[in-house]
Amino acid sequence: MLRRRRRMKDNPTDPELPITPMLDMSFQLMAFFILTFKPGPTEGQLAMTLPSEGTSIAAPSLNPPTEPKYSGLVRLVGGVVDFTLMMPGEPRPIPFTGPDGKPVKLVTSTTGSNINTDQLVVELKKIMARAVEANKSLPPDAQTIPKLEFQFEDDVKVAIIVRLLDEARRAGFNKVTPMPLANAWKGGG
Amino acid sequence: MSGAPPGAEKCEPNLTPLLDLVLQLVMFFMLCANFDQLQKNKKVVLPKASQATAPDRTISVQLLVELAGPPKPGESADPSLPAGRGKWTISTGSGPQPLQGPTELFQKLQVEAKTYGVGKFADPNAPANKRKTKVAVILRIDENVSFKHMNEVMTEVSRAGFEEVQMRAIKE
Repeated sequence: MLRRRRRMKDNPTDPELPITPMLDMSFQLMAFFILTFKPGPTEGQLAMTLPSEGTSIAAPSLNPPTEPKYSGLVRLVGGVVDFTLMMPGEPRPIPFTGPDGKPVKLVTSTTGSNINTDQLVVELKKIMARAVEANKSLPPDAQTIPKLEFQFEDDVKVAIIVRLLDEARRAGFNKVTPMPLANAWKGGG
Repeated sequence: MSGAPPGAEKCEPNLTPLLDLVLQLVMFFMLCANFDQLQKNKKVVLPKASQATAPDRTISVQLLVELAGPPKPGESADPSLPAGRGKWTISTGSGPQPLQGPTELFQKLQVEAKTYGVGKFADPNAPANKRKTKVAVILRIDENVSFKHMNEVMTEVSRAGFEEVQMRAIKE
């Protein structure tokens, strides 16, 4: 009896797990996920501020608004991109000028397809710097978040619009609104 | 008669490494799986944007508005649609429904705004659980759509009172 007990102690039997069914189920799962796997372009969302009801572009007014509707206005008209500034406390928009004192303009095709985005970002960053500088001179409760408004003609494609919104975001603007070109606005140089 | 000679050991292949690799593959495909709840129109070619961020996953109700591009040169135009315009659809959870124009879009959004208590069309009699639901309008606009139509859609979405709007783009 002692020999039998020792034999049982010396030769322990390993539990045998049947792996085959588990492998079958794993293959089933893998087949399912392989068949439903579809690599595609990653879709993301673009930050954009909707035009609020009743909003129009800042036109010269006898009663200047307490908060400007935008800090910078970028218009794409007939193949030319021009820039206008609206600083807090200023009664009227002013053209955005370069070091030579002349209004900054970018020339592109009428559809905006070959716009120089690097140069655009440079100018937008300058506008952002001006807006931030103007904010510093104001008390904290009067400071506003820099906003950018784009104005487009009706036939500009969404691909160009999204590209410009993208560049505005790259320049640091979180509040960007696309708006139709206002015929009444005569400013911008 | 058995083929194996008497006293021969049973040969079993080692399945453990095979199982390990299979489970690795299953984990990989499980993590890559993306069960999108929206039924998207595959014909809508989204514009590209390098600054596009991951879609907000905290939105519980998504109202999908899709604007297909205009017919390409040589393509036959749909006679039921206005000239130079593609198909517009809205999906509110029961499949895509065609839209004739901005007015119909506004009407449908108005119904959803009342249901979920959004904006100034919030219905004080709406059930409390629906009022706390986060609702967003997802705009999937083809890159060849003109700004005129994009602006029409954005204006109606804004008029309906929706503030949560996601403009979709392909992340570069």
